[in-house]
Amino acid sequence: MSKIADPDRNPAANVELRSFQGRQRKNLTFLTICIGTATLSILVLVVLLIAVFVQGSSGLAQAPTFRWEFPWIHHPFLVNPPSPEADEAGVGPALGGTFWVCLGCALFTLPLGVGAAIFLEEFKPKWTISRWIHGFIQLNISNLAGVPSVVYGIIGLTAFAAMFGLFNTDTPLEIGAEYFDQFATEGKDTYVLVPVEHRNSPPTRLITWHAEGEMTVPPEASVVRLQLNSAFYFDPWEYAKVLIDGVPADAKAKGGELTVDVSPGQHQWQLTLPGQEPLTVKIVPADEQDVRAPEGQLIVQSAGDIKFSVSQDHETKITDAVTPRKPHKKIKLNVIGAFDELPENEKELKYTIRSDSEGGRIADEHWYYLSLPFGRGVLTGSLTLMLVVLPIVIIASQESIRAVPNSLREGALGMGATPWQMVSRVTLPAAVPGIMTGSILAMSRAIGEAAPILMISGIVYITTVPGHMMDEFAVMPLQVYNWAGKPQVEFHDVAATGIIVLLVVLLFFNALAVFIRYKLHKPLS
Amino acid sequence: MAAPTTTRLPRALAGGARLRSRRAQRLWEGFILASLVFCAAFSIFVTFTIIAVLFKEAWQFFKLPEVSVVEFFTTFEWNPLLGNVKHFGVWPLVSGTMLVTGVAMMIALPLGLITAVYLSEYAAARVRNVLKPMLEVLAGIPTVVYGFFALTVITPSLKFFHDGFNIYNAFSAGIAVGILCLPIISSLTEDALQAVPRGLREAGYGLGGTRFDVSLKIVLPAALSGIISAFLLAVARAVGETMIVALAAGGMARLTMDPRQEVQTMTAWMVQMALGDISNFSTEYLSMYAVALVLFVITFVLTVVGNIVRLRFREVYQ
Repeated sequence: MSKIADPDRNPAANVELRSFQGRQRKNLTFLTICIGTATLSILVLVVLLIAVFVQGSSGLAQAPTFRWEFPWIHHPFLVNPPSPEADEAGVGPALGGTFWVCLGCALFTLPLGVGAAIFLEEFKPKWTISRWIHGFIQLNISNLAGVPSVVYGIIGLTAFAAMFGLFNTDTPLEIGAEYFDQFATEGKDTYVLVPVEHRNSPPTRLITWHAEGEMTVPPEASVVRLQLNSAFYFDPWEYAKVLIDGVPADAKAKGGELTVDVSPGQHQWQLTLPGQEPLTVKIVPADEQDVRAPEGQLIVQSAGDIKFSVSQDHETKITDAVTPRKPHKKIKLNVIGAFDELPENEKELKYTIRSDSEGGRIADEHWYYLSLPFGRGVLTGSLTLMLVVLPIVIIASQESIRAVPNSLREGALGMGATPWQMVSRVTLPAAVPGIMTGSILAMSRAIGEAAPILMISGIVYITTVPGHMMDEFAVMPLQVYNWAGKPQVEFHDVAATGIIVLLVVLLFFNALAVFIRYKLHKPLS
Repeated sequence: MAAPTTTRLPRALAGGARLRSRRAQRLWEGFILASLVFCAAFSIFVTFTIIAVLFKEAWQFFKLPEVSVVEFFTTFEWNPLLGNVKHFGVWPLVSGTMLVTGVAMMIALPLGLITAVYLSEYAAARVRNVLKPMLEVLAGIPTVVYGFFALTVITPSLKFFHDGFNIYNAFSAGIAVGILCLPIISSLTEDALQAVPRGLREAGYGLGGTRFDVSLKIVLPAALSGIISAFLLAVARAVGETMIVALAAGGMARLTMDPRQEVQTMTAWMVQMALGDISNFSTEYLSMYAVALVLFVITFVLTVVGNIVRLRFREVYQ
């Protein structure tokens, strides 16, 4: 180090000049640090990939088979559904779900994103207020890009799945779904379906029991109690109808007991009980306490005089039952009593049902099934991913539109084009490669997003590819999360295999983006 | 002489263009412009929806008798799932987030800065062509993969070196989040460094500076606003990270500065609530919205300040 000696002649007298060698040494040290850091980053990436491959390659080691159904090459891991056995688990439904959700996301995002980018770049306003609004929208989009994806998941849950509570989840508005009550017949493994109107209509009953009679109710007691002990587990009075003088009565049901309010005097009454075998009726005086109806008996308790006669058993023969195999062919059911003997003929047995059978409500949803609220289906997932990916698409499209040189625009305007003609015929075609690249990269981001889907659908065990827009689905990153979070160590290997598949899909998308960038890029000026 | 009638427009043009009358063209363009405005305004609608939903549900949460706003923001215990005594202080969750973010920034910030300086000032084109795609790949890997990596590789390695690490700990999650944020800081900082005009650098070289001198004493300070905005945006990303912390950091909310312990971040709590078997209107479920509001406010403030710094305080040269 040298000091410049004379303070009067040199204003930099008290400055220490550093030697050149010292600074060179610092430069070299820093360069070494830089190279070390860069190598560290590459090393981390390599270690990550190697770890994943080492753990997951055993899952892909099986040989694929060929079959004549989609997809034609069947590899066990790629086609199997997830299963409790680690060596049988696969990502088939997750791949299908990812495909549909990302397709929907792209369909929603691209028009909105490119439209917004065109507006922000090409139609810049001149007045101050509009300029302020324009800048506000721009800032807003940049801020939306920084919102965590879980928050988008919560918004998707509230706005799309539940739709702010505007529609009732129990009775959604829907089209494209048909409901059936499914009965098991006495034949071998045969089911019949009875079409019903609406998912909440009363269950189909094979028999309805009617009774009618007369009653005289004294003034001081105006309550009639009916008690029924049913062999079934449902509330026997749930679909019963009591008519007093032809008018539906005020009846309250609690457990096996039905209480009917009657005005004093003489009345005609009717009772309809769906799905019950012919019952015995016992009339009990009003002052008896602790009355218990034995099974199959209807107890009527009231003050005053009640005459009660079973007029007729009405059997409801269902004439429009169908079978799952041939849904358009109507079949005739043979309804026999609960304790009757079965017919011996196999053919007759095939469509024989006992009158006390219970049907299960099933739904047949067509491919165009739509319901409001959207619920936890593919549509909700697509819209939520759209929220996540939209700011990225807008920013990327803006950059590629900005890259179109101004000379092209001014040339178009000079030839007499209106602003929209200039955009649609000159600017957009020139910006399309960049927009496509940006969108593909944004979609690859969407494929890897697990958090929003986690908020919408939760951890569910999905074994099928979604069949319609409202169907449940599984996505690949969520499936990996599912497996990685399991305590058993074998599932960590399965998770690693899933990660390999996921990375291959992403690699394909990124390679596609690079290929497009390379192929379609034309020098623009 | 009769006045000339308006010229009839030909029906079709070569190239498939449609000629409309001026009025029809203006109407069509007006319609197009209206739909474009709708597309752009949709983003404002999204922001408005986020704010409205979070505030409304958080207000429902604070309206509940067992919860008070004061308790939420001032007490230090969070266990809403216990039977009798429920505590709703949010600070343990915030401290978990801050712990993980702190570890992540300790890794991402220095490494990202140095990588950016290297890429921008030192590296030859060959190295750039290899390193930049690698960083893009690091940024593009899904976060579940990082979470899996933290759980199966980082945590066992940490336990191998020092026994005190819990199987779920904040440090391995922080490392993974740091690796995730490194490309963000690196690319944004590199953009900021590239934006510094060459004249400044050349002046430094002309005065006899080494590359180290010029990079660290001239270019870096000149790009400081860009670096600050990169840092803020990376912090926002780290705060909002969900899958890594859900897999590797654990589910026990505690107020601690020890990264070897299991912590629960705000995002991990939200995931726990969304997955649970809890009814839609119970206290615990609504607490998810309150925590989401806090998370959103934090990241929103960070992102807004970062963007404003990036756009406003760029030094204008020449």
